[in-house]
Amino acid sequence: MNETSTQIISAFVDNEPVDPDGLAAVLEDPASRAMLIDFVRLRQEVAGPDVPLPRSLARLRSRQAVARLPIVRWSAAAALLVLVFLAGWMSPRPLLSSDDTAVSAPPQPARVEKFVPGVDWSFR
Amino acid sequence: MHRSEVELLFATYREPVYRFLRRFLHDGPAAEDLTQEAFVRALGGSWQAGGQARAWIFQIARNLARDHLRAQARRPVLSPLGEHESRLRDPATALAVDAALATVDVDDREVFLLKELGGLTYAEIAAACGMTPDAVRSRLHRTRLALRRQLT
Repeated sequence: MNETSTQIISAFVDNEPVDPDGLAAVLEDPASRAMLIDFVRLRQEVAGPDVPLPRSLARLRSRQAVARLPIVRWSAAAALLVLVFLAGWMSPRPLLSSDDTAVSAPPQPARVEKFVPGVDWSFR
Repeated sequence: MHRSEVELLFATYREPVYRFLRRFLHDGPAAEDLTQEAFVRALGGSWQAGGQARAWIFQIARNLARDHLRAQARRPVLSPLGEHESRLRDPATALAVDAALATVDVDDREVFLLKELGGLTYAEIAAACGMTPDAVRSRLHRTRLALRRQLT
């Protein structure tokens, strides 16, 4: 079996035009017939089972949808930032209440002690 | 290209394109994405590959696959394809075929899978891969002989 013989078999398997007389001559050789069967078997094994088409390929995506994806992502990120900012702004702030004077003014004394000169403070 | 034309191409060729990409990349999810991407790109493209629709869509798909492989900077990983692979009649044979395919040069493998799974003619493969039909014939033949040697 020479190179030409095997090329004829390969072309025949590929459904390409071949010379019928040449093919007949090649197939008289048992080795060529075995090669033909091997090529057909190889095709079957490479093809494997019929894999179901994934659901994602049920329909063609639109080009706009693909192009819109980055815009949608950036918009979502911007909206999230605004939400975080608003949440921080509106959250309770115990150290900065709206009545700042109430926080800064000292409390009124409950009792007033007066210093009287001459009194012995060490006395118990 | 008009959407209705691409819709028609999608309905006709999505399956062979997906099967080709899945086998070539050995990566089901990537094959799904790239199949969609191939047809989405066709929406904005114009006829190439000598005006042959099938060759053109496969040309886009194989270019995407090449880019994908370059991005990964590695050869396709021969890991199990997933749950569907268990349906093979003979898993050992399937693994042997995968292993044999992995030893074939990537250009030869591409041509071989375009023929076996894409069903392209020599002329279409030549148009999709930018080579002559004779080169396609030669590569296919060489690949078959190499695979046969390894599998028998």
